[in-house]
Amino acid sequence: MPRSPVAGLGVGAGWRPTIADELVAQGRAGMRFSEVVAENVLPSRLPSSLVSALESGLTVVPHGVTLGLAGAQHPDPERVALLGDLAVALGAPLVSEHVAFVRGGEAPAGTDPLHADVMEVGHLVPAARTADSLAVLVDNVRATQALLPVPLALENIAATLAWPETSMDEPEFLTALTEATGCFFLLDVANLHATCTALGGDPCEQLERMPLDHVAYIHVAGGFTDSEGVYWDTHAHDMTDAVLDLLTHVVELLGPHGPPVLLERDSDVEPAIVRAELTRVRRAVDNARVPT
Amino acid sequence: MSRQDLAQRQEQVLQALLRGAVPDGFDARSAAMTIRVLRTKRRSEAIDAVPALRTIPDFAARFDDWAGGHPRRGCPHDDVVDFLAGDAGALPEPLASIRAVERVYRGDCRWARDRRAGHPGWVVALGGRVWHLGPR
Repeated sequence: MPRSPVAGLGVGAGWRPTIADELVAQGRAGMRFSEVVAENVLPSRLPSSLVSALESGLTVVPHGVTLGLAGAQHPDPERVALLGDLAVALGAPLVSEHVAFVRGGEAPAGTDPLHADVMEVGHLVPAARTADSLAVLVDNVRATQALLPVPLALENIAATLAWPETSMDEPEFLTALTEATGCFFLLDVANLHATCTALGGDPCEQLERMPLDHVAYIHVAGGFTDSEGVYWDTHAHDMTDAVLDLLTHVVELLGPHGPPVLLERDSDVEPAIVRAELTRVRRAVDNARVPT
Repeated sequence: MSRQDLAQRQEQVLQALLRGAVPDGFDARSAAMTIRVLRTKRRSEAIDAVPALRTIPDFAARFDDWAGGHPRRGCPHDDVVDFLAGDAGALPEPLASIRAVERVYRGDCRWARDRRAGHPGWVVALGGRVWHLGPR
């Protein structure tokens, strides 16, 4: 597997309008990595503050949330084209999406997808992990890769739904996916922790069986654990120690100069909060015991 | 399982979860967690579309009660209008007037007061049309 196209870029934070100036300042101070939710910007009209982030030296990866590649529908070529156009506009060396489905039904060509007979869930739903669903996912990923100008990385989601027909666990499924398609893996340690608290499993043990040789970059985010012990990946709270410990373990497995780490924050996105959380991410990375 | 069979399976499971039901064969706890997530997402998209929803007393409980029996039929803004038209509780302005006017357009009633500033005061369904009457 080729090395991550963004390897060595260190620790970064997702671009959001309210911290645009902070990211430019961080970029000037040495931060090199960021990401933007693809559906929030148009390739032809990049916000000027995002252009400033690029000019400050940040590599900004487009991160899609609506392709629904694990859905039974063929990927929408227009959505894929937008993702690819955004990669070109940003000069990004890859794009990322999720192993999930997000809708039921398919909008007929030329119709308005907002009002067609389609159930848009607005949420990343896990698909059953079976040989048949894997075959459809592989087919969808290959079709998407064929349309994209840059490599594709796919992320493990925070799952609360267990399908009765599932016959593989997540590490087996994602390993088969990356081997069949050659796609990169976007490893979200908070999602892995969330899935294990909701559905069972040891996140550390699962982490070690994930397709680590395919990791392009790593997501980390905040959340909270409810009274039943289920961790909710909100992107609105500070990170928990359990998630940061998992991050430290990944860095021990992949090395300090490997795939970069990206902090996702979607609510209360204020410069001071993001600055403090970035410090905690860097500390977790520095805590890794790596062979010298 | 063909792509078409998979599509049917995913659609059936989604439909059940969106109406708050445990799909056949699914673990009840896992389905309940997912139903909660889907409801929260749908509610937050409705608030994004119409932030004034935050002013409704007990909005979360009222919206969730209604949403369980009413799958979203279009965009989040459609969802808000459908919720307002279907909700029976008291609403603050301007939501109360939006609901009253919507009910006239839907044929649920013949006339309504529109108390929003700058709107004519009365909305009347007459002769197959809806008329907005009164000083602007």
